[in-house]
Amino acid sequence: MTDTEKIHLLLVDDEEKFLNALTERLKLKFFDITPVTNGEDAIAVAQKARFDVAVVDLQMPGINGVALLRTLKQSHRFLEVIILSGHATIDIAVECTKLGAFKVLEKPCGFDNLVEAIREAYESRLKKKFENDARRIKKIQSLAFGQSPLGILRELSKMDDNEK
Amino acid sequence: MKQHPIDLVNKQGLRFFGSVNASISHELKNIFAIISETAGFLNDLTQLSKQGKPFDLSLLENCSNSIAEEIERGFDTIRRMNQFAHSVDDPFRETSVSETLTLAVKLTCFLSFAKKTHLEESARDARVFTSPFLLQTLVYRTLIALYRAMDNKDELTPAFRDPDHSGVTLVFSHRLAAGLKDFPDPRTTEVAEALQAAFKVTDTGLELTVPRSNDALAAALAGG
Repeated sequence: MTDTEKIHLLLVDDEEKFLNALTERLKLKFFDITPVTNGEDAIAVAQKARFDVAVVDLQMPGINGVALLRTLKQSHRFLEVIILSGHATIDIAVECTKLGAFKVLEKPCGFDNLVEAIREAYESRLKKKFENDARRIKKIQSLAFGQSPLGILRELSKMDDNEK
Repeated sequence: MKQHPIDLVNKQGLRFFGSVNASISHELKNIFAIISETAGFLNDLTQLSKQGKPFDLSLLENCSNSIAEEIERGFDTIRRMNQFAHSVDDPFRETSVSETLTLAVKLTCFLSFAKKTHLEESARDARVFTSPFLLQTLVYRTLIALYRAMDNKDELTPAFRDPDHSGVTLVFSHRLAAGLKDFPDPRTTEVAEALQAAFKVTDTGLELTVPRSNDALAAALAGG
């Protein structure tokens, strides 16, 4: 599997040993992992690199999992976020789902369950991206009719702004 | 209306026990999660070995060290849980301020919003006659209020001094954040009143003075 085919995963947990062990195991499953120990670093790396899925611990010092979920979903519309919680109540699950979390898993969730959730999240991301791309192509095709070249450029610029 | 100390222990005690148990169970879950993933990784390495694929042998050493460290962390957590559970053994007795403070710091450090806390080594202990459980509750609640008011990079240095025979003063020195102005909250005030303890905010931090003895509390708890 080449680097471009790998699922790019952002892993956020303040438990450094858990983060390291999980990173090593996921690497063996051919994921491309970026591990970080806090929300601030997660936001910073997500601005520099593209990620398919983020796995985020709920309870962290500083920016907690809910705040990080909110920020990541606002800035990266196709990024799927899986929340890991030491105490996954229905209220937390509802709140995270409302904010756009793909799944809320209770720690320890079992490695195979986590891998399965990441794959499902990746598929969901691809589906949303393809649907969005199809809409864009359709819109670009419609622009080509009856617009001046400058008008087409303006519309394309607006579409790009909406992608951010 | 002022609450009877027994009611206070029952009402606040349940809440406090629940809160501490929740944070301890969260810590234990984290420990199990690390052991589980590390053991899983060892299994992955075994599978690689069976397939004849090479890997760095230092990974095995790292894994076994990590598991051993987490087991020790688990034992330490259970020791604290046990110490905390025994704080209700006697409703009123001579209590070590040093041990109470140390245990409260160790119990609060499981909380995600806890800040770095340095306990000053003291050559001698200070002891008071009080309800060990209510004192534990009060110190714990005070630490939580301070952590919530502090900036993420702030550090706390709690200590105690016993300037005279009337009481012992716990000093939580740090640069006070604005959030502490609402402290003590009503629940903390209830506990402080039962213990006849007093808070004082100074330029450098928060002071909590506990009397050496508390006959009213002793009588109330004995009569309850």
